[in-house]
Amino acid sequence: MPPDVPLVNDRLVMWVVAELHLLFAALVLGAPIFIVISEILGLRTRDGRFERLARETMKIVAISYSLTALFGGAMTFVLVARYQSLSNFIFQRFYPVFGLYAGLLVVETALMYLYWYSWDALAGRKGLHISIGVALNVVGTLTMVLMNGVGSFMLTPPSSIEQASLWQLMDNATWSGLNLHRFVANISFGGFMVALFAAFMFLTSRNREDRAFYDWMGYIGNFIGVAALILLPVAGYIYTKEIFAYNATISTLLMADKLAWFFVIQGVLVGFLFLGAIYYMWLSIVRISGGVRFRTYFRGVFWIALVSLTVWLIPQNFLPALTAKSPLPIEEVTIPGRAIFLGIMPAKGAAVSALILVTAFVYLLYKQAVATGTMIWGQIDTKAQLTLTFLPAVAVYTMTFMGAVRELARGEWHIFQFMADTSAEAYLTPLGYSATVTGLITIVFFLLMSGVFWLGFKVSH
Amino acid sequence: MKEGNESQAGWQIEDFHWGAIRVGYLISLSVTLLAGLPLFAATMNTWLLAPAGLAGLLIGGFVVGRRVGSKTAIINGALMATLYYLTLALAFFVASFLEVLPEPLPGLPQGDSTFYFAWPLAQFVIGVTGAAIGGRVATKNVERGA
Repeated sequence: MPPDVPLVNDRLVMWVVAELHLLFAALVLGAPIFIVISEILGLRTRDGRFERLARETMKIVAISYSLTALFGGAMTFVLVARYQSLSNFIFQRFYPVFGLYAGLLVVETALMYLYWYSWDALAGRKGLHISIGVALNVVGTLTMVLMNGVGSFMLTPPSSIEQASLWQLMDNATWSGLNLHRFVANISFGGFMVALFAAFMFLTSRNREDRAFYDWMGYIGNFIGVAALILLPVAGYIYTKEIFAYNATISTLLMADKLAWFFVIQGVLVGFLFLGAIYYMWLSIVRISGGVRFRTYFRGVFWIALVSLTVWLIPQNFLPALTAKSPLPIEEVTIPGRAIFLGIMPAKGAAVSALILVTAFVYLLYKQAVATGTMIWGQIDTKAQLTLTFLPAVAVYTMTFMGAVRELARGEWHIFQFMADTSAEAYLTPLGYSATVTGLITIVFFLLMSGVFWLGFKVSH
Repeated sequence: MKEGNESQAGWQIEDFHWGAIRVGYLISLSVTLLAGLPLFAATMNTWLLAPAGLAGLLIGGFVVGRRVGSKTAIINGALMATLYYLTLALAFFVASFLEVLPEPLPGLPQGDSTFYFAWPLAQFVIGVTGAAIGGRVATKNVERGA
């Protein structure tokens, strides 16, 4: 970037375009899994709402696909123009991977448009249409797996990079962990984005029939989002454990050094996701006939979730800000002696497990309410729909924020302990700055998504 | 409006069968203590508490499911497994506060919290699975009797 542009630098531009690309990529990869399953359910249950859900969500994916490519292209331009040594190395060593990636992108694009535009034409041959959707998901997942190989390589490369084969570069220490984490996260993200779209449509619909449908759609989206969310901390833990096994200094930087407070913020965000999901279920269970009888149990669950979250957020130690003057000497800013165990991992693991278990419990409770009662669609508290916009906002913010943490984990390296980052911005950004940038990215993503919804469903109607 | 009509008719489905949950919970805890503690004492490995606890939950969950039937087996099993875990978690927190537990626990690596994730999640899955199996067995027995 020209040095005379205030507040803008190469890393910031790369940061913004890369994260926007990844958010849209998560949407176009996660939502089709959801869409095909909905289409299959529509075929099996003969419930027309599944078909409509699949179709309307696919319309969002089709529009978002262009934005994914746009930000992917922008990311490549910035990489090639401003990080030449890194991009030269990556493109040379991973040339076959990028060749395959380009080929798969062509196939994926063709399948995506074929799936979308053949919806009516193949209405009588649903099996074939679903097969195209399944193929789209398989190819989409393969493209993600390929790029995860490159991304994970930068953080955990094999010990002898120059001698390593292409497969050794790809099959690095955290490839499987990143694949698992992103796959689960994409499903959760896809579910929450469907819920967001449904809430947007519910809140702007005047028609009672439409409101009933979008209430149902939000419920389904949220259910999938929460189901995958329950698994996500486990996938995250496996991924982090792989990083720890690869090089403990990275984990120390993440969990017990300069980035430790980022993980406290992550705890706040993930806690909000769990609390928000429980809150939505608590609000919406009322519209199930007889469901109100389950509300009593939610009270205890809320308390356990809050206590668990509090334990999760207790830091092991306090790192002083270099600019602020503490009123007390830093050695005096400590957790009282007997409670010190609350700051270490076993207590946090036990607390997070409690949070997951009580959420899983109310999830089953909600399912029981649905199984034994009748849902009155459309008669739902507006606060529940606002919760369905809150949850995706927090999910997106968590993704952008933790994406930044993953990149910052490399420290001063482009490729960990192999290629140094010698640019002017090769430093760990402070928490406030990182939180602001990722917050702005989240807002931009939401504005773009609002544009997608508006263009696809308000203008066209 | 099945449930609504039932409510209007003045009765409600009994979702939680506290007697069954109590029995399942006590079985689970007893098996954990009776089988897990000797294993732990013999090997000084905390991980060995897990299979004993899971065996207890499978049996306890089965008993719960058998008693409540298939319609409410899963939520009763889930509540039993959740209460079981919360009991262990509370015991862990109290013992840590009283500084009677070593850190790390015997057999667990320093700084590794896999045990604290893996065991609780497995508890929930096994407890619910046991209850689901018990519920199915109960339903089959009823069908056979009918």
